[in-house]
Amino acid sequence: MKLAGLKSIENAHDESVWAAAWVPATESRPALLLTGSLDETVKLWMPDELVLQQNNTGHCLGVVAVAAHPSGIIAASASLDSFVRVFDVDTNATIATLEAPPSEVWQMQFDPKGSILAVAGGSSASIKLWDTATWKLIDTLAIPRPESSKPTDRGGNKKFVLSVAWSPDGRRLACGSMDGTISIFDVNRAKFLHHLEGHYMPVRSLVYSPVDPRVLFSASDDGHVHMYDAEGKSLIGAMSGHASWVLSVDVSPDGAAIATGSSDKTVRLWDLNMRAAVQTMSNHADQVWGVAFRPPGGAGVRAGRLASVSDDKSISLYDYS
Amino acid sequence: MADLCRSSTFFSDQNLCNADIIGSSEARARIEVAVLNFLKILNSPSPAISDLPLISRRWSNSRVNRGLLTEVSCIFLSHSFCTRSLMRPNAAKAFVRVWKVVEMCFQILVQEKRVTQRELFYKLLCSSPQYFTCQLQVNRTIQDVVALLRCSRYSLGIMASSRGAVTGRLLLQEPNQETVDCSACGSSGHAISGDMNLLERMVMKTDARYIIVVEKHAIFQRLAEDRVFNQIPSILITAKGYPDIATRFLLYRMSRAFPDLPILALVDWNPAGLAILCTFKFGSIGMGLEAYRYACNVKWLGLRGDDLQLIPEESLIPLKPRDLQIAKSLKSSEILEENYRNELEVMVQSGRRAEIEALYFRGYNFLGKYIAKKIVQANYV
Repeated sequence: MKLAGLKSIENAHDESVWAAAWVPATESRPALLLTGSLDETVKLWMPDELVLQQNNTGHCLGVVAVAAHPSGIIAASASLDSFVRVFDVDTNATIATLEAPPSEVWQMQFDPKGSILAVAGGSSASIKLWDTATWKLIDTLAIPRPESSKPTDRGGNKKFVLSVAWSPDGRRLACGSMDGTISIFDVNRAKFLHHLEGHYMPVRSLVYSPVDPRVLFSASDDGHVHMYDAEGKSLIGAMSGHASWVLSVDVSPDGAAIATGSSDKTVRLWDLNMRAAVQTMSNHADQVWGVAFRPPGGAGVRAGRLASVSDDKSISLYDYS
Repeated sequence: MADLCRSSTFFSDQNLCNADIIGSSEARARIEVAVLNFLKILNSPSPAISDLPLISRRWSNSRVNRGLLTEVSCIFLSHSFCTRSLMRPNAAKAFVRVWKVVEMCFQILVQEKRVTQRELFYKLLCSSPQYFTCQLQVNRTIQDVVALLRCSRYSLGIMASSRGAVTGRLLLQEPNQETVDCSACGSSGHAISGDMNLLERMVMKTDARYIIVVEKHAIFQRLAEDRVFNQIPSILITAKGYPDIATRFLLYRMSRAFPDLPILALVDWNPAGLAILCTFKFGSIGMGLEAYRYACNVKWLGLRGDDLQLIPEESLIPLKPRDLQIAKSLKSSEILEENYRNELEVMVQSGRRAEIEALYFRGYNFLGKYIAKKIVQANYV
């Protein structure tokens, strides 16, 4: 497996690009790349030439996360002003605006069926679940406070929830906190199941394997990428190699490889059979905040694509094969 | 007597099948009856999953109503049924879709809200992703529900979106609101609301002598900017393409309120333009249940075959396969009159089409002069 650089856009945004997600292909158009930046805009790009399709403005502070509905029709963008804006991808019409208290909106992801939007709740130490048909808050999954803590130590910054990931069957939700713990929830019963230990620094990105519903990958500021058996609560493997914080991890649609972006300015491709990095791409000039594999599907699409976005305001597209 | 004049050949009304405009409590009642009937058959001694009987929206079920005492002919749908059945493997999803939309409409009616088709699509996409993947499916299913319950979309709580625009010498007043002077609305005109109830209650005043229906938004804007409606006292209306029900309804209301004003259409010289003209004039099959009433006596002002001498040879572009398809379906319609049929023949034979913009070859204000000349010469069919 390898990555080959296809296209890079310098100055894709006016400021650092913090978030990237692919919008799945629909019947009328191929998959698009959605990027969000500190410059308060969200942009849509058409592969492979990365032609700018749309520029959405309206957020008041930097855009911290973007997510796309599995149907490819709707997408959401979240910003530091703690608003989540849900919009129609093709027309940019606003469908809903979800409000939350300050610093309680971080990463988010739609569930595989598209009926729930899970938003990492930041300082609220919880995940908020929004129903996508009515846009009402249906549940808040709270991380239980450790027994020994003092009453005033209200999770404070320890359990600050940064990232979320859905299991491919939609039954489990994982979230990563600033103290390095990963919490697993059973969604149907809205119950906390257990913690996954291993990291000691913020877990900024999580992703479940598409081929094995128990396997969860996590990227942490400690420079390692961990592979967990989320049901059995055990650490299967750890991959090291990045020189600095690992900011983002994504798994390829065939489940054979993962890609990571780091603050050491590189993107690495890891082979899961060998549990080692097989390739390092160094074309970015600053921290790589997000990596995302294009989801399968769409007319005439054979090749895999990986996108990476960086603090250097650029977006890169690679061919994955 | 006036109603008798407006009505058709006396017996054809018995064949006519229409969608009623009913209040929300009656719509809910119809939904409840449909569900109860379904459950009754399911619970009966010989249980069965009944098929859904929908009024067929095909050419085979359409009839033509030729106005005897009026000049308005229209297409309406008769009582032929098609069914949606859970038993046929390929059509099972369509069956379920109808019930999902019925459920959604019931909720909307209970909450006394109004939603657009697009909003309904978002809700259905998120709540039943395995059944709905695109807007077209939702629109078709809504038409199925209209055909099942025999009531208009509006009665189900589905609002039409605002698409058309109107400008010119027209004063519109919503009850208890300020009067809007359409000529002062700028070059895009006054947007026609999608709310049929609102359009029903609007009070209209005019001193115009003609109503001009324009196919394309760009032409509408050009005419509005040049204030053509002051040179020729007129009202300009456009649906920005294929007419939506709100624009058709407003045109119909104008034709009833100001019966002396001839309605003239300005469309491109191609089968699609003629199809747009015919939809305003006769109605359509797709919306036949609801919108058959809104047919108006629209006359064809331009572009027509004899205007081709005004435009240069190079502006004639070849017909696309889609145009030929539209031409074929128009030709098979029995409602098309002789001279329209001849024009269509000429279009197909020459294999070319022309757009109204071709008239700009002679200068940007030629369009206004062209319209004025044709109106003065009463050169419309």
